[in-house]
Parts: sequence; C-alpha cells; structure tokens
Amino acid sequence: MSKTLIKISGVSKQYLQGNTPVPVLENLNLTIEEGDFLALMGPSGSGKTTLLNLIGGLDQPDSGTIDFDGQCINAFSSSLLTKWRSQQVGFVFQFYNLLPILTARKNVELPLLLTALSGQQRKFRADTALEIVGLAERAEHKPGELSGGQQQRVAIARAIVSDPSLIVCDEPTGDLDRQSADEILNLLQVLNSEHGKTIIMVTHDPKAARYAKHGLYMDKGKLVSEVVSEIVDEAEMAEARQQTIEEPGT
Amino acid sequence: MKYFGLILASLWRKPLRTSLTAATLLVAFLLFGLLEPVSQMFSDSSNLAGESRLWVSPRHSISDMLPVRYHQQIQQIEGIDTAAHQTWFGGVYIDAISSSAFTRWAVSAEEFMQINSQMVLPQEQLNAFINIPTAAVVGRATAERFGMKLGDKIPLTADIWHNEDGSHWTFDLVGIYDSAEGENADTSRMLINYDYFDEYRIVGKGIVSNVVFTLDDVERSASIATEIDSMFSNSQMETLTSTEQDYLLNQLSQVGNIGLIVRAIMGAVFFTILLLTANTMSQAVRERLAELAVLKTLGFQNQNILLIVLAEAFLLSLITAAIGLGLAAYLLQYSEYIVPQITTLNLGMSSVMTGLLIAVALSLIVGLPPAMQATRVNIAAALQR
Repeated sequence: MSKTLIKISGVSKQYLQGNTPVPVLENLNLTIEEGDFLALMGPSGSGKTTLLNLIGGLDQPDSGTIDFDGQCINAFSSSLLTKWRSQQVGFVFQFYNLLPILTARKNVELPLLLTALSGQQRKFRADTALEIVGLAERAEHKPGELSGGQQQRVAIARAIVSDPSLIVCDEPTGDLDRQSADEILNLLQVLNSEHGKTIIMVTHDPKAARYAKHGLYMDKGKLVSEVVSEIVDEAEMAEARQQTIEEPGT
Repeated sequence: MKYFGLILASLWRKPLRTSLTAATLLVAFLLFGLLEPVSQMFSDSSNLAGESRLWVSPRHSISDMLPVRYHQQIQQIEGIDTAAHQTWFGGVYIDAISSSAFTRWAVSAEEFMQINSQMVLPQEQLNAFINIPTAAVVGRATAERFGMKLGDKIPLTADIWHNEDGSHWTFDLVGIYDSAEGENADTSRMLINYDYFDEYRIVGKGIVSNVVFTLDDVERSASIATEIDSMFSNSQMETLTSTEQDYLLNQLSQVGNIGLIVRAIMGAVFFTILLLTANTMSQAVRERLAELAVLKTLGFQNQNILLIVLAEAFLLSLITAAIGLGLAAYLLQYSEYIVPQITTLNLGMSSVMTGLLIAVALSLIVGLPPAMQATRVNIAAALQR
C-alpha cells in the first residue's frame, strides 16, 4: 500500500490585481502518493503553476494546509522552508533557469554548495547526475553551448543531484521540439519508475500527460476531474483539428 | 570559499562592464595612494632628531625676514658647525618664462658653499665667487639651458630689490656648479653675493630670508632647534627651526591649507566613484533577479544571497584597491625626481590601511543596497519574468 507523501487540505490562494483580489485557488483538496507521477493540466490561469509553487514551498497559501510526509510545510518559517526545499524538492522549469555563467557541472553542483560535501564529493555527485541524464560528456559546456533539450537535461540533473523525494516540473517540455520533449519525458519516467521519485508535472501538452501515471484537470482554481485517457484523447483530437484548420493543404 | 567560483563567475558575467568599473576604482585608489602621502606630509611635522642640516626661518610668514645678525648669533651656539644665510632675490631674467626656470638667491658665499657640499664647484671658481663682489654662479642645468658660459654678464631686472640705478642689476658669471647627488639632482639655482647685494639695495638692508646651519652632532639637532627658537622668542622676529622639507612645506602651506585641499580632491573623487559603482552594482543585480530567485529556489538562504552579492562588491573593491595602492607605491619611488627637495613621499602602512578601509566601506555602501534588494526577491514573481 502506497504512502501519502503530500496532503493538501482546504488550500486557497488569491492575488491582488491593483486593489482587486483575484482568487487563484479555492478550497482545494488533494492527496499525492509517494512514487506517483502526476500531470496537472488545464487552461492558462487555471492555477496549475500556483499549486505547483505551493507544493514546492515557493509560495504560501492564504488558508488551508499542505502536509509533506506528515509535516505541515506552510507552518515552517521562511528559513526552514528554504532548507526543506533544498533537501526534499527538485525543480525543473520551462525555460531551464540555468545560470549562463556556469558550466553544466557547476550548475548541477549548485544545490550541493549548501551541504557539507567537499569539492571533490560535489564534483562526483554532479558527474553522476549528469551521467544519469546522459550528458556526462558535456559537463564543461556552458548552457549557451547546449541545445534546449540538453539544457533541460542539465536542469533535471540539478533537480536530482541532492536526491530529493519530490520533483516538480513546470511545463518541462514547453520550450522543446517533439523529439527533445519525448526524451525529457522518458527521462522523467525513468526517474519515477527506477529511482522512485515522486513527480508532479504541469503541462498543456496532452502527449506529455500520457507519460504520467495520473492526471488532474484544473479550471478556475479548482480540480475539475481526474484526467482519464478520454480527456487526453479529446485534447489531442482538438489539437489535431486545430492543425488541420491552420494547414488546410496538408 | 565554496562560493568563490560562483562569485567570480557572477563578477565576470559582463567582462567589459566589470573591467570599466574596475578601471574606475583602480584610478581612484591610485589617486588616493599618490595624494594621501602628500596630505600626510602636510599634516605631520617631521622629527628633527638625526637631521644634520636645519633651517631657521621667520615663524609667522614667508614674507617676513630675519635680521642678518641672527646668522652670527646662531653661528656662535655650541654644537653648530657652520651657519650660512640666504635671501630671495627674485628678479626677472629675459622674461617671465625664462625667469621661472630657475631661482636666484643672495647668499653668504663661503659658508653657503661649505654647507651645501653637494654643489660641486672647481676651487678657482669658488674663490672667484667668494672674492668678487659682483660674482654669480649658476647650476649646470641653467647654464646649458640658456647657453651661459664663464665670463658672461648676467643682467637681472629687480622686482623687489631695487638699487640706486633703478631696477637693473648685472652679475659676472664666475662659476658653474654640478651636483654630487647625480644627474637628476637639481642644478638650476643662481647664487649671488649677499654683501654686494645688501650694499646696493636701497631698502631692507641687513635682513635675510633664512639661516641654514649644519651640526657637529646630529643627535643634538632637536635640542639646538629648541634653543634657537627660545633665543629669539619675544624678539622682533621669532623663528621656526625645521628641516629643509618642513621649511618648504611651511612655505607652501601659507598659500592655503594644502592638506585640506588634497583631502577635498580625494573626497570628491571617491564620492563620484561611489555613485558610479553603486549604480553599476544595482544594475547588475537588477539584471539577474531571476537567477537569484533560482538560487533561492534551490535552497540558498537570504544570508547566502546577501553574502554572494556583497562578496562581489568586496572582491572588486579590494582587488582594485590592492592594485591601485601597489601602483601608487611603485610610482612614489620616483617622486624625488619630480620634487627633488621632498624625498620622503612614500606610502606608509597607515595610508595602506586607510586605503583598504575605504575599499571595505565602499564595498558596503555600494554592495549592501543591491544585496538587500536581492534578498527581498519574490521567487514566484521573479521566475515568471
């Protein structure tokens, strides 16, 4: 029987647009099991990224609780939350967010600077992470010298280097071509199935969602439904229809 | 130390901008290193102990003169080897520009040449200088510059000391001196006989600009200086006995508070540098708020971010300060060729420490605001930019 890793209870979040409060998440409840690979789908502005930021400890809810492995993380102080993040969560962003001034290895090493590891141990771990993502030979290259897919793999290596139990991915394939996207999604699948990482991935792409074990559909700050294969199929069909309209000759 | 690579890489993100900022700081610290010893020189009075040659001058103003009898009185003090006196003649040689190339002094010839043993004059020329009332000697530099040769008549037009004929004085060039201190030593001065000058000037007879003397025992320099100044205290003209360097600085100080002027210049330089560097640092941090947000996402605490941004400012400031001060120390070795009378211009440890303290303060002032800004980055908002 799987263990509950994340439990979200009655979480609400709103932002201010000028002086007007705009609700983003409303009384949201969700449980995520350890070892799950969850795809969060939904239209822009539906609250997917906000939910991801709350789960990853990058933001705080206005109300409700977020429990991680039995600990209420939104009760943590800012400093403790930062420390928790460095130990428990790996982040993968749409635009990679690598530091352009550092080599791939140095980028991957960044989270390890916060540990007591020696320089040699940090290098060893960074190289191992790069090897897992298949980029060991590009360790000395800077992000500007790598393709989009390679940069995202470096970002994934950075996300796993401190061996977190949770990886949160915000549109990890949004900036990639189909082939690179599939490589990244395969890699995430391997990290989930073989390394036991719990992965939560926000995506617009129904094909990407197919790589996840589960899917959830959000709209207007609420979880509307479990993304069953029919919804993905429907989304893919809609996408195909749209392409036919745009390219009638093909 | 484990952040050093990250700090260095961040600093070198835009090499041109960093180089220009570093060059600006370097020039500021170079200027500081060159001017601080000047400022120190005007604020410190030197220790008389161990000085073999001292100057006695009017205590209150460079425009005052000493009675010539002071010379005899000083000569009689026990422990004094030789005393000479000299009087500023001034005057115009050919025109104002030519005149500014060398100074002209009326001296007690025999004693003066004895005291200034670095001025090398052949014996027959020295005899002529001492014995011929209208005699004059010039240094090699001046002789070569104006094509003067022995036997020439040197006309001077008086601007202070007029004679019975009006303002025209004529001297016979009987000697050209070299310096025993080498090629770079000053050999520009022209010397004339005081007795002849004093006899024919129509005002100010019996007064001199200052008295210079050498000592039998250099260990007694401080006590003899005190004795001389005490001797003439409460007299018609009080004296100040000092080293040659202090005498010159004292003269310069009467133009204005040179030390204060120098410090004001340094202050203006650093204030300008402060504004420029602060602006550059703020801009550099603003440009990478998203990257700093990534670091915070990865678990870097606010104090880590503060440390990294501040360390960049410290590194830049301290490296440029070290290079600037080092360069200044190197260049100050050559100060004696620029101002031969002042040979003590060097960058002392206190000046170096002051420079480094300024570097630290500068880093804090320019680094702290952007560092604080960096710690306040809202991760979610910064990542969405």
